[in-house]
Amino acid sequence: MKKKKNIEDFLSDEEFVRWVKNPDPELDIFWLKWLQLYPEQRDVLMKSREIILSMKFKTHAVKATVEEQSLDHILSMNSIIKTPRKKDKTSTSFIFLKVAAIVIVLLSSTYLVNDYLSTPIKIPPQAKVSDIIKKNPNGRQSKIRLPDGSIVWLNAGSALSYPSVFTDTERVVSLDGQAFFEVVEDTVRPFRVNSLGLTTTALGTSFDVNAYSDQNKEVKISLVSGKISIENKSLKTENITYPGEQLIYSIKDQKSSIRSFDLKEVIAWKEQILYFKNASLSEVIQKLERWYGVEIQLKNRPSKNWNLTGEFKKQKLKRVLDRLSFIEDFNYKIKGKIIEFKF
Amino acid sequence: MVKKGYLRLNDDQHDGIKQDVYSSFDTIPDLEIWRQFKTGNESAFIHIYKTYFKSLYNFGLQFSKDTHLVEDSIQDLFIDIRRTRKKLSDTTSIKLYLYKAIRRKILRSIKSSRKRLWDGSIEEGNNFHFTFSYEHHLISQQLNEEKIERLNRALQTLPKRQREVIYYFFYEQMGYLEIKEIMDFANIKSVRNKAYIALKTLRKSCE
Repeated sequence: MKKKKNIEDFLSDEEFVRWVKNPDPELDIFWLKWLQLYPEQRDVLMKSREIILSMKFKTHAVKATVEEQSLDHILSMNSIIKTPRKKDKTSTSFIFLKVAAIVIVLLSSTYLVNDYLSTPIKIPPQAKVSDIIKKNPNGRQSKIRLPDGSIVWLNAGSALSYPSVFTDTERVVSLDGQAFFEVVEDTVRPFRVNSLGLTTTALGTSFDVNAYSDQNKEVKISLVSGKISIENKSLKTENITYPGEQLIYSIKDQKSSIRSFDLKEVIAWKEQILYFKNASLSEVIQKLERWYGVEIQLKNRPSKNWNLTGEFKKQKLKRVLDRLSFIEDFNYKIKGKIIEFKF
Repeated sequence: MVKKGYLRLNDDQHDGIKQDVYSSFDTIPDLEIWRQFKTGNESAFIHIYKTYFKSLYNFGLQFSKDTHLVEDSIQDLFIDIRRTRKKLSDTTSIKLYLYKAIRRKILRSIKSSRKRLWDGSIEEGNNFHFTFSYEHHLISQQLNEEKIERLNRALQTLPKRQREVIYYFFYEQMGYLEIKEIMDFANIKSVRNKAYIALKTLRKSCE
């Protein structure tokens, strides 16, 4: 038993802490013997004990629903992800055959059990399907894995909602904002994205949907690979069959047009590249506000229109502002989350 | 329908009689539970999840105030270990394994969001926040309110890493060896030093 000098000698002793927090008879004996050996240390020991007991750590409780939903999500991430995304026809049908065979075996054995045991077999109630909502504030992007293994890159200031378990017939998600979808192929269950009255349907493909409700002007749906079809409220359907094509739907006149798009412009955000192409001042402001979670205020108007092209990969706001203000010739001031432009 | 039948059959193979296995996990050593999980036992997985989810959540929020970030990280962690379970290394302390993994995950995503966001705009985490509170029921009353106040002021001056060590040592009641593992210290001695320096600062404040 070594003598201790200071409070920190006690506080840093694993056995002392254990005694104070979870005493047991053996530890009681030990520390009482210790006190007999060094009676002059009693005050220091008591003070150390009190310091430990008066420590109050801030704790955070979690809602039971969060724990449950998260578990549902984890458990729904099944073998689908493990199967390679590129598969040829023969292997797919082979898997299907295997599944069919197992189901037949399962059905017949259930039948047998039913025959032998007269007691009814308890069937667990259908698992409750709840909606999961993932919401990004301005200044944050995220990557989400859906229950079927499809991957969604959700841009800043956007929200995606989807069920914890997809039904057997379709996979439906709702989007407000911008997201890039990489859909796992499933010929039985089409994948649908609802956004501002448009429904985009895909079987297995990748595409970007840009539909911010606060902008409320147009929805842009860009096809990167595969095939999609888009349906509006009046059930008019448009097909996009060529990757590189984009549908622009004007909410005001409810009209759509198809044109080709610049791949980089549409998906740069997902590679964390802030990309401008012939952008006006208001487009630049909107993008910056969303990207960095700030508010931009104009002290006055610029003398000429902006037509900015450029890209910033993983840059801090200050760097971007330095470059922009140099190119477009203005001064800026950062006041917390508010940024002032002066021309 | 086809899918459900398939999955159920799979589960039955792994689980055996679900209820029985689940209730008996409490007495099984960590290494055994972990090995069962690795060989595909789903009830072992559920047991691990149910046992550690709440404390991982509380732990994660010590690093970041962003509950979404913490929830997502925990979800990702469990998805990761489930997907790669066959290849996971053995562990005699599941808690230590999960804490180390979630700490790395959260710090990494905080770092990557910092990179994108402009410095200082990101909300600071809770950073192992704790206080000293005056306890009337303590028998010998070596500490009065004024000393408690001074302890709290000294706390504010402790660097984050020192507070983190204090958190593991007093709140999670981990030993130096475990703290070394979690925080990737070079050796136990440097953990002990870190704790000692922090505790000395606190002691000096209440002399």
